[in-house]
Amino acid sequence: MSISGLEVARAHWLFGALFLAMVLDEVGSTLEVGTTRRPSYYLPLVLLLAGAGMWGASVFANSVIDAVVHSLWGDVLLAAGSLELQRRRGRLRAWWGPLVVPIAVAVCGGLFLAHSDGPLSDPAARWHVLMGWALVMAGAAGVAWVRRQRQGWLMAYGTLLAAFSFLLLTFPR
Amino acid sequence: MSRVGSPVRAVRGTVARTLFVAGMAIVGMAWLAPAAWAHASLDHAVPGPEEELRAPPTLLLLFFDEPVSLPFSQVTVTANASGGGPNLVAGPLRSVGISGIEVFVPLRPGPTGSYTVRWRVLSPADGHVAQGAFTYGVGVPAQPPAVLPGGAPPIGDDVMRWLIFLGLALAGGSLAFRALVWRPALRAAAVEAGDGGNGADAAVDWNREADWPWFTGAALVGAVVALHAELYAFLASAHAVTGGSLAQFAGAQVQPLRTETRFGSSWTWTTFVWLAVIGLVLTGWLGSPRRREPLLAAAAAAALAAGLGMSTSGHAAAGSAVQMGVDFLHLTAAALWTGGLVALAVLAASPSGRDRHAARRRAVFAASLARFSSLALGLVVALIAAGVYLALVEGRWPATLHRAWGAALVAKAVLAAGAVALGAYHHWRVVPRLRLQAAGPAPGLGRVGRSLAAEATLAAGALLAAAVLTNLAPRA
Repeated sequence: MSISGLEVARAHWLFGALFLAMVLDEVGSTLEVGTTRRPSYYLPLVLLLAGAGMWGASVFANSVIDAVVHSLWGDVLLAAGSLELQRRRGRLRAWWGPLVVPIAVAVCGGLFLAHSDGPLSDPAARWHVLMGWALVMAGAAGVAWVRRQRQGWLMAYGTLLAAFSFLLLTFPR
Repeated sequence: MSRVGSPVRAVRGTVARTLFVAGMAIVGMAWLAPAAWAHASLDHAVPGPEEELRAPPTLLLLFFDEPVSLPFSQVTVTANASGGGPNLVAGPLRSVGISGIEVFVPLRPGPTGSYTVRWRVLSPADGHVAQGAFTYGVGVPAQPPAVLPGGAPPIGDDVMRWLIFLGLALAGGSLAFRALVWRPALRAAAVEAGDGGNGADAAVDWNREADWPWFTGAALVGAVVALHAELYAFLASAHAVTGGSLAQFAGAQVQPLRTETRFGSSWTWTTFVWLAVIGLVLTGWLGSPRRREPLLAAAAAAALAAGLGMSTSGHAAAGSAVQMGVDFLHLTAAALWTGGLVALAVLAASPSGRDRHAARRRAVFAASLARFSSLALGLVVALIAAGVYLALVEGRWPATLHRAWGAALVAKAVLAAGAVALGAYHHWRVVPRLRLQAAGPAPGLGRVGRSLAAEATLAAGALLAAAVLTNLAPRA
């Protein structure tokens, strides 16, 4: 018995939609000029929710590697969500605080690449590689944006994250 | 006129009570021995071990002492000569009775010689894999089975089970300690100090740190540790069924094991329970103080309920629902005891001379120790009583002690007895002494903290021995 392709695709669509909403909220609010807003807790809460969801997905994974990688994604997202929440509440003021989310994104991308074990002729394996590289590059762009504060890096960060969401939404099964 | 006994007599009385309690604990723990009888083991076989046959058999019958799960069981029959030769098993394993303990193995006839039967079966009740080998001869006497390379001890599974125990104790035990012992002690100390009659709210006012973040931190650590240990314990059990190298195992399909075994289904729901515990603790931690207590109490209840996962997939699962309930009681009492000890040890370490609230913290500690000491007495009684019940129901006396199993059992009994002895010392010596000192100057709690830490360490060691015991078959 294994989880059907349709169920897997539904789970990916759900995460894709959640992620896209998170990206739009995060990048959109950062691009707003001349307005002062209360810090949004949407991003950390979505990260925490996604982390719990990843652990839930690990239970229903078909293979051992799927279970382990989904649990590791869950760990990274839960840790990033907790730290980001503390940062937005003003409890975490360390210089590395703003780097937490971009680094978590890059680590998740690395796990995607480790997860894709099939031949590249397989569409699902190819999609995993694309998603992995999208996240790794998004993480790098995010780190560059935090360090340099140039809008070009922010656009690259947001575009790559949106691309990742699109790849999740169109995951072939 | 009140009579005050001499200090020497008081010490003798304490020593006698401590030794008595330790002795009773050893007897109680020894009674726990048969609780580990539930590994499926080969009762007998046809042809049997070392039997010499005139003609090659066309079937092999294996009789186990409890039902086995055929889809996850393997049997091979190979020639005992060098090289082994092909597997003579001619078809899938079948159960020939309704009880599930008899396994029918069709065989191809082989030439004259000695043959090795290797069996590896999964017990669907407790999720343990048992394996063994024996030989029979065809036209010649049976030779001893050839030794297979590898076969590492299941240390990974033991460690994971221990981490689950510790997670239960840290998350469930410490949060229950907070609700049942620490908060009432805090309230009592606040009222005594004249901080007003508003109970806990007033107490929190006089000491901001009173809403001690250690409890939420410990509960989060415990829940996260248990969440991971549950996953890797499941994977260790799955590997015991599938075998193979790490690379082969990475691609192994584990869904059938998750859905068709008790240890798989218990992993499924305990994962969501631990996620709920993490969510409740985080919400309680971040939310308003008014909502904190119900959320943390719910987290404590959920964490303790996660122990049902072990009771419904461990040895007790091979028995009745009552046995599972008593096993759950046993586990819950151990978690409450150990978690409370850890919390007390940390609480004793927190007061210092530089702390302006040191005197009040000390009063809260003394009240907490007194409350917990009474509670722990009941917990230890429940622990031993549950163990005795399980032993009487599941036991097969006199037990034949497996060497490793016997060593683990003795280690568990000694460690638990040591912890109980220290508990008796705290109950009969430390609590009265702290009461007497309440009116005078407040000395440090370093010595009490160390003895509490020693008791917690011994209890954690006993849990480790219990984790090892659950994975060992008591018979050779």
